[in-house]
Order: sequence, then C-alpha cells, then structure tokens
Amino acid sequence: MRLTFTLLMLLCVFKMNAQSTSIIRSDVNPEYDSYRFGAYGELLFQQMDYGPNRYAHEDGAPKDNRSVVDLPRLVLEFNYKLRKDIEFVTEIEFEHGGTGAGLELEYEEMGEYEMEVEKAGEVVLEQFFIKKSFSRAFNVKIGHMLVPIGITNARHLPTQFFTTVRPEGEMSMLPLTWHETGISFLGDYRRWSYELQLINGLDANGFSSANWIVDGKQGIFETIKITDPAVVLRVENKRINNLNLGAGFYYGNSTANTAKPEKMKHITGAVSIFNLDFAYQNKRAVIRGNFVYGNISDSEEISKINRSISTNIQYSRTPVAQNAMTYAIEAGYNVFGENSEGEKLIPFVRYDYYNTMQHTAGSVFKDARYKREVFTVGANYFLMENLCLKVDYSSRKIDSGNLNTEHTFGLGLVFNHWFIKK
Amino acid sequence: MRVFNKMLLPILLISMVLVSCSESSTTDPIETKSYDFTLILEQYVDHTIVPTYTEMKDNAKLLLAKVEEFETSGAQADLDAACEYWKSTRAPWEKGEAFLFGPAAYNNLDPLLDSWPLDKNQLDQVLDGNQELSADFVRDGLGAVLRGFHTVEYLLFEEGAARDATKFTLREKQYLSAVSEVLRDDTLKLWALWEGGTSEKSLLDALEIEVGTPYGEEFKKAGNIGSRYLSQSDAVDEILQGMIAIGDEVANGKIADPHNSNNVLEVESWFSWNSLTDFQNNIRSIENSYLGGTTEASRQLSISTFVKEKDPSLDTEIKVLITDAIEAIGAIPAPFRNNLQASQVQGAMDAVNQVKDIIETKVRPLIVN
Repeated sequence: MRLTFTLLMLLCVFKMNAQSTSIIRSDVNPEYDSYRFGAYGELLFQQMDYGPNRYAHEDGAPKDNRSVVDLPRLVLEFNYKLRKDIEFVTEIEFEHGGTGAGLELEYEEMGEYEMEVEKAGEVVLEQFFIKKSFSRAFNVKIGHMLVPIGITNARHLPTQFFTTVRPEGEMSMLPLTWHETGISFLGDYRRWSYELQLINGLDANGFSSANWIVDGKQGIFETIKITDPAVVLRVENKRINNLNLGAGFYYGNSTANTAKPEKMKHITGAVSIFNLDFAYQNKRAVIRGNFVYGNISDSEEISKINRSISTNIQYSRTPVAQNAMTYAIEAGYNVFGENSEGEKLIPFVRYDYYNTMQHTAGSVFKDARYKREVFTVGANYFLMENLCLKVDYSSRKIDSGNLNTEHTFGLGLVFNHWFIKK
Repeated sequence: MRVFNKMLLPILLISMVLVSCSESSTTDPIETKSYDFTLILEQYVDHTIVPTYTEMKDNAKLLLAKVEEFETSGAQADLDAACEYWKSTRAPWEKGEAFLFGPAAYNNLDPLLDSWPLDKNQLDQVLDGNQELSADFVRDGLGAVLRGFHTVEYLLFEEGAARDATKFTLREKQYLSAVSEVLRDDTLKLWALWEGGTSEKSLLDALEIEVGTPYGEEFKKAGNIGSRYLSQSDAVDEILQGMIAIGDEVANGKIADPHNSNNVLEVESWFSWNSLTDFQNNIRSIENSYLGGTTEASRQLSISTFVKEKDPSLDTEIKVLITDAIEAIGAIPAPFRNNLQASQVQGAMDAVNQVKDIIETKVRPLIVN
C-alpha cells in the first residue's frame, strides 16, 4: 500500500503528462524531445472458489475458498534521446515484487555455505534497445524488444485491457509479454504502421501441453541461442475512424536453440503464429477483439524427445500440441462520458476461448481439459486518465463444462504514466 | 555546467532503474581426502545398484508376460499372478530410491516410472477414446502421468487386492498390456544405462535405446578422466545425498503429507495397499547403499566400513537407527490409508528423520568439508 501511496503522490506532484491512450501505436514515433521516465504497474486481489490443482481430481479442481494478493508487475520505463534521431529505450519489470537471494553461512549445518532464495519473484529486463530514426516511415531498433504477436503483446499496458489480469487465453499460449533480442525495422506511413523483426527463436524443449510455446521462451540458461532465428511482422491500419486493425505473423524454427540440439537434428520444430486483432474506441464505446492461431511442425517428435529431458532442468516435459488457438472479444461502455480529469466508469463484458491442445499430431493425446472458455463481467473506474480501479468476476468453463467450473473475483488497481517528460 | 545538469537527471534515473544482480559461484571445493574409495564405489555399483535394477527389469518382464496372458485369457488366476509380479517389480524400484541421481534423473525416468498421483480424468478420457492402445501410443502420445507403476497398479488392484477379472473392459486390458510394456522398457533402460546392457542387446536395439558408456563405469572411475565426478568424495557424497533425500521424502513427504492433510488420495500406492512396504523398502535402499550390497552375503566394503574406521560407535548407531526405522514403519497398522492418524505414525516419521539426520550431520562431514 505504501508503494501505491507513493505512486499516487508522484502522480499528484508531477504535472500530468498524459500518455496517449489512443488506440493508435504511439511507440513507433514517440512524442518527447529529450527524455522521459515513467512506470506502469498493477496491484491485484483475487478470490477463487476452487482449489489450485485441477489435475489431481477426476472432476477438476475441488471446491475451495482462497484469496491472494499480488503485485503482478511494476515496470519502470526510461527513454532518452541521445540525439534527435537516436533513442535509448529501457524497461525493467519487477514481477511479484522482485526477487532476493543470498549466500548464507549456516552454522547449524556444520558451517556450510548455502545459497538461499529469500524472496520469490522476478526482475526482468523487458526492453533495452537503441533506435535510430531515419524518417517517420523508417526506423531501426537493435536490442531487446517486445514481440508484437497478439493484441496484448502489441498493447500490454494495464489500461489497455479491461480485466484485472492479463487476458488468460493469450497468457496460456504465448509468452506475455514476449520480448526477445534482435533487429527491427518499423515506421508509420500514412494510415499504416509496420514492424518487421529478426530475433532469436524459441527453445523446443520448453513446449508443453498446458502452455504451448510459453516456456519455449529462452532464459533457463544464461546464453540465449539464435542458431534458429525468427521473423516477426506486424502491420496496423487505422483507415477507418476510431478503428485500429492489426495483423501479426511469427515464423521461426526451434530445435537448434535447445540445450542439446544434436538430439533434434532431424527436425526443425518450425513455429508459425498468425494473429488478427482490432480495437474500436469512440467517446463512449470500446470494443476489442483478438484471434491467435499457432502451428508447430514435428510436434509429435518434439513431445517424444522432451519426455526424456533430464529431471534437473525445469522444463515441463509434457506432450505438445501441433496447434493452439485463442480468441477473445471485450466490449465496454463509458456510462457517464468523460470529464476534463479523465474520470470515467466503464462496465464491460468479455469472452475468451482458448485451447492449448486445439489439434494434436500423430499419437499425441489431445487432453480435453485444455479447452477453456472464460466469461467475464466487470467494470473499470478511471479516477483519471492513467489510474484505474478494476473489478471483475469470471467464470471458467473447462472441457465444455465436463469439469468443475471455476469462479474468480478480482480487484485491481493499475496505473500507467510518464512522470517526467521533456 | 549546462551539460552536466542535462545529464544529471538521466544518470540519476538510470541508477534508480538499473538493478545490479551479482552472481557468485557457491560451490564449495570438495577436498579429496586421502582415503581410497575405489573398492567401496565398485562394491556399491556392482552389488547395490546393478542387482537392484536387474531384479526390477527381470520382474517387469514377468509382469508383462503375465499381463499379456491375462489379456487373452481373462482369467482371474492370471490377474492375481500379475498383481504379485507388480509387487515384486515395485519392491526393487523402492529399494532403488536412494539412487535416483544419474540415469534416473538425466533421462527423466523417475517421473516416467513413478508419477503420482494418477491422473484419473485423463486415463478415463483415453479409455473412452478410440486410439489404438499400443505401447507406442502410451510412450509417445501421453505424458508421464499415464504410465509407470501407479497406472499399472490402478488397473490391477482395487482395495488392496486384485480386481474382479470379469469387470475388465477390452480397452482396459489393452491399456494394461501397453502400459506394462512401457514399464518393462523403462526398467530395462534404467538397468542398461547403469550396467551396460550387453546381455539384453537385441531387445535394447529393437527399442532403439542407446546406452553409451555405462554410468556405473563412470561412477567407479570417479576422480579419473572420463568421469563426471571430479573426485571420489564427490561420488561418495552423491550416494549420501541420495540417502538423505529419500529419508527426507519418506519422513516428511510420503508419510507426513497424508498424515497432516488426512487425505487418503495423497497416500502413494494405496490401490494395492502397498504403501508401508514401499516405505520400508525405501529405508532398505538407504541400508543397501550404506552397507554396500542387497544381501548379507554380498556385502563387503562399504561406506559403513569407512565410517567404522573413523568412528566405530557412529557406525553401530547408524545401523541400529536404520533397523529401528524399518521396524517403526512396520509398526503402523496396515493399510496406511486407513490408519493415517494411528499413534505409531509419528514414531515412524521420527525414526526415519533420525536416519536422515545422522547421515546428514555425522557422516557427510567425514566426506566433505
């Protein structure tokens, strides 16, 4: 709470430099002259009526009553223009309040040195790149950057989706946020925006039943392999007023980035992902939709090899499906209109479908429990443009209702703000 | 000055933002004591590990043969016999839980053989489905949760006895055969990876199991070129840590978890009511590791010999504690699932913890600094 308070104070102290929440991409050609410092973050309370393990019981998660509080993330952003045309961008994310580890001398254990994890969480460098601008239409980024696949990777700020947690369909099949290292070409041209990236690919050993390619994002080892690179293309169009249309495509092999690539020499593990999304926003209504479909070649052979990876590495080793799919739509209506402070109340509804085992190849068994649907109702109350209280209630249907339905009540406080901008 | 001012803020901000993470290597250099462990390591591989895994794969073959007979005959007598073979395959597995390092870990064989709890929902989906229930399907199409000892156990047993043979569906029988075959393959692989597997070469070739240098050879050669163990004390410490790990798991997991939650579903091997035998065999795996052999007759040089040289009373104490722990588990009324709150449970946990503690606090310091 102290953190929230401090941040609230900061919000009051600094003159509001409202970041454009427009649905049009603002990061291709950002509007500041010399530097800016900002942050976004989320605080979350959840109450669930189901137990945490839905696999140990035949009917799914048993009835339970549990609550959690979390700081899913606090991200500090700092951008600096080294020159008018050269920009330095960095984003550091503290997940679940950061992490702590320490070396301790344990006198109770015969004076042994022990590495202790003192606090769970993560500190992640989400973005770190240098961008050179040649014109509005042509910029080059080199470094660690977001991979714009799926609407939430393209627009991940907590004020850019209604739910208290990030959209669960995308979260279950794509790294979210997804950030990799490489080179990118991007720009705005008339009513179009584009970004073309060449980045490091995924690690096939991390693929799994429940999370498809999510844990294929490298990071278990210190070195990130780019033996198999990937290409990413995202295009957006805003020809129609208030409507932003987006399409993304990802393609890259994944087997040569594994820890022991010689075991997978005979296959490529090519991952292709296609997504379409739209966001419509006028003074009153907001409607957003998203569709993601992915394919992995050689998924049967990958499942077979992953099964025997050393227990000492934290992969899940479960069979991976050839195809995963999610789609979602959400609609909200600003009931009172907007006053000058940006205060508004938006009740919303949302529907998510996702299946991380949409289709399996060969003998890989398609477990019906990975087919989920989530219905959510809730409201976003914006105290000001960049500070929002969220409340929602969701109902998760598993395997078309064959397993116990899971209900979650969520409360969130989110903000997103450039504190200093020059 | 202006430049300085202009730079100051960014510099401050960067220093605010950047969090430095330092990493340092924490591995203690393990001092190689002058003691020569060569014969002890040889004894351990040849008379503890290899005989345990040989017994397991031999019995797994008998189990498979009997299950296949049952698939054709449907006879209760075949099913009853298969249940006995399950138990005789299970016993060496549990007696091997003190050495789940090396091949069992590197090839993920522990989860593949012994995942618990059983995923009944997915098993029902498979049994209700229409896939051909072959060993290939179980091996390649399913995850670790639908194979191994407990899946076979669930299909064979009910309430601690063989199921009613007339109640088997055709697909259950097919699945039982398939999953028993995969169990045989996995036990064979584990044995071969330690032993070398020359006597089963044709079967290993047919299953495309590559063995390479047997792990047992590498283990015996600890401290020499060609072994991943940099010193003999590294290898001995691996044995001790295996003993400590299973002691901890039995006392503070396998017995403590269901005792604390009072949930029968957390009791391992409860379909067969074999839980207490499992736990006792786990302590025997500590005993066999410590005494260097699976039978009285085969025991010669061992960690016990080494400890005895350093401190004879410590050696006697360890032997007594091991025997006590096996007895204390045996004192819990069977089946464990119906007696989670029996008064003897705490005593068993304490006795096992004592074994674990003495190895951790008294024996390990003799080997590692």
